[in-house]
Amino acid sequence: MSARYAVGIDLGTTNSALAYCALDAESPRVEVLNVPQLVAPATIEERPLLPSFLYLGTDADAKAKSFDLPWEKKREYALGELARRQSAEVPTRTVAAAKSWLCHSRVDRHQPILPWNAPTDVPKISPVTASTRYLAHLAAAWQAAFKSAPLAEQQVVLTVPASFDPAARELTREAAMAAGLPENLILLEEPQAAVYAWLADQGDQWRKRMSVGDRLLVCDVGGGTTDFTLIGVGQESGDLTLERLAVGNHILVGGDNMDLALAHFVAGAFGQKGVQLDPWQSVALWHSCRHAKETLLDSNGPKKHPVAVLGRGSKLIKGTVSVDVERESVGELLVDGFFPQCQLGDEPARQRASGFRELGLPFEADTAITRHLAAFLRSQGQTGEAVQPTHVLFNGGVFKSALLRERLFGVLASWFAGPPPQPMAGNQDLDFAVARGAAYYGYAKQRKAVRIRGGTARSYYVGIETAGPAIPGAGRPLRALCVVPFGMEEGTENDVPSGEIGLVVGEPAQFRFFSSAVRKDDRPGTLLPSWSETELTETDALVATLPKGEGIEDYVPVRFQSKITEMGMFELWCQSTISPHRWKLEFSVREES
Amino acid sequence: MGRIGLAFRFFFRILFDASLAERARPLLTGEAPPPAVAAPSAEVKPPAKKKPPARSDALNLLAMLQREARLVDFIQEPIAAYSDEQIGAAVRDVHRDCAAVFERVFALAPIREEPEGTTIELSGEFDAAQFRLAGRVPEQPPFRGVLAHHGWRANKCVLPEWNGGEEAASVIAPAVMELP
Repeated sequence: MSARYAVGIDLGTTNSALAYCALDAESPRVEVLNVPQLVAPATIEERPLLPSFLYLGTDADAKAKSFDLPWEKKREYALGELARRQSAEVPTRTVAAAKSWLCHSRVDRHQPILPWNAPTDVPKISPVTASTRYLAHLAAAWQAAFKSAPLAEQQVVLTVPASFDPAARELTREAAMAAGLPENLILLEEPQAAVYAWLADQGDQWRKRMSVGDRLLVCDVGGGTTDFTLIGVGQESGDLTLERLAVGNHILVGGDNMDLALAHFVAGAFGQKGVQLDPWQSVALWHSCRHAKETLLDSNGPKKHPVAVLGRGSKLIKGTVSVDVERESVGELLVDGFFPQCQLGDEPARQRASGFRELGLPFEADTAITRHLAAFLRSQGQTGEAVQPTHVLFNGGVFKSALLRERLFGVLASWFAGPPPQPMAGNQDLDFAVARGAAYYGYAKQRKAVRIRGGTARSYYVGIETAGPAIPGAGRPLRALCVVPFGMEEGTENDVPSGEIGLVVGEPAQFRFFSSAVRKDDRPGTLLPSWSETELTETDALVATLPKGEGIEDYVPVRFQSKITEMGMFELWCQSTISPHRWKLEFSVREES
Repeated sequence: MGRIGLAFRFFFRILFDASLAERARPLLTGEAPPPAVAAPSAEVKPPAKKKPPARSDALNLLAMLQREARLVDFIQEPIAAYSDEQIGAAVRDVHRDCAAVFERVFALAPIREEPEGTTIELSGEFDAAQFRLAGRVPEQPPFRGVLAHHGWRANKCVLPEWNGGEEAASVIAPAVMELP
């Protein structure tokens, strides 16, 4: 059994894709797979993107065999383009943005909670199940096209947002295993995948384009999330190397928010003309706005662009309403709303907008991507100075707009003295870069070609309650024990020095779990007596249940061992200090009761 | 095989096989070889035995244009009563979405890349299917004239696959009932 292809899978919030490349090729050629999918009942079309939507059908749908695929009959659900269309007409039966739910630690991601807020008589599935189904569909599409190359035997690379915490990565991996992806699956961070796509495009030329000391900012604005990554160029025995220096926090704002903002704005313009849009028209308007956005955000575009909503019934012309939208006002709304000209010292607003909270996901209160960027660059600088990038690599369909790219460069140039950051040379395929880059990474890993080094982008901590008499009404003071230092390499382990920690046999032992993107100097065993809210972020708790028996006493003293696997997965173990036993801590992704 | 043997075999094959001669020519002149016929990559899509689809491709296309661009609604609606402005408002969206379907299904491209109005010349071996001659046409080529229309060619034809039942085959767009 040996892999013949490197396969890259981009499991996106709104669209997924699969790219591949033969491993025996001297110069790799990465191709995107056309994915057969339902575009209407009983109608299958091959498309390069698989929309990450899932429609839960009725009994009638299954009986009519409307959702049959070449590889599966009598399906009760549909995903891809058909499901994306259904999300407009039947929102209560359509799962969307499952990926954003996967990293939302306030809900139980194994429970059937999606579609969120759907009535009780509608079937529901969990965010993990939805992700499994998208991946299983891509796997089946691969298998249909490459019958003699089982996916389970190929070098498969699956991408995750750089800001995904270990629990969200674990859940992504769980979904991938359930979908039949290989055990040696590698998880790769999306912004890094975008850089690999650039490297694949450049070939050996890249060494001429970059020089030692360059700092590359990857600005990845997807459908639902924004991710920043900083990559440094160094050298080792005369050869250029790439090192991932930092990764930003999870920012829940993306291109979909921009489409929605534009739709709200245009709906207001209709309102001024005395036209009130019904829910169906509002969704149709959203669709029209997505198209209008590209024209209106083109710096050579027309001054005005009509946006229409077609009549719903068969009398299409009669029912059509339209308004002229001015480029200038769209510029104000989207460019200034999402990429405002701000100061390097500005803070993103923290309060949550109440309207969004009802949607369940913790959308950002501040949609200003530039302010989040300022906070990121500041947090990564040393001695109070922000990091100054020398180059910018864009990723995500949002950046097809030259206006937005120019604004981002303008803002960056205003923050720093000296030469402004440069765009990366060459073509960038904004829709497929992540899948392509992931496939190229699989190739580069097998062929020992250039790779980005980095290790973990965060340091990780376990919460330890201090000993001492409990004070009624107040918890014991909590300290944070560093178990994984910043930059811990894949395939390494750490014994964490600490005082002995006692675990009670037969009862679940729960530990609070924290991460930090800024405390880069803590070593394993460093104990923090206190910290500020911006330094440490709490994510899902860790739990271990020690089985009774096996000659273990009621109470076992343990120390921690942390491990980053070759595949980039985080593991934390409790090692008994009095016997050879050890137990793995699992993420408690269940809802707290 | 020795080089002499190879040379003789090429001599006779090139002598009697015009297409091989054309492919071999660039080896001597140093030109770029003609584009190879896309080798069907061994892996992609073994033509699975398909049962004949229960509806024609024409209906498939019509359903697609209605689904994605509302073309049937647009054509079926009498337009005499509407102002140009009202028609114009609707047509932009229908046009945009039809164009997207055409691009995906047919990948249309002009047959001649020159701007219309340019003078072009056709030699004796032109393909009569690709050019229609108009005006005063002489008996013998070469023909010199102005490109009046650049022509269109479909670079592919990829329609969705339909696997529905008999009774659904004639449905171009289902009736829609909205539940409160």
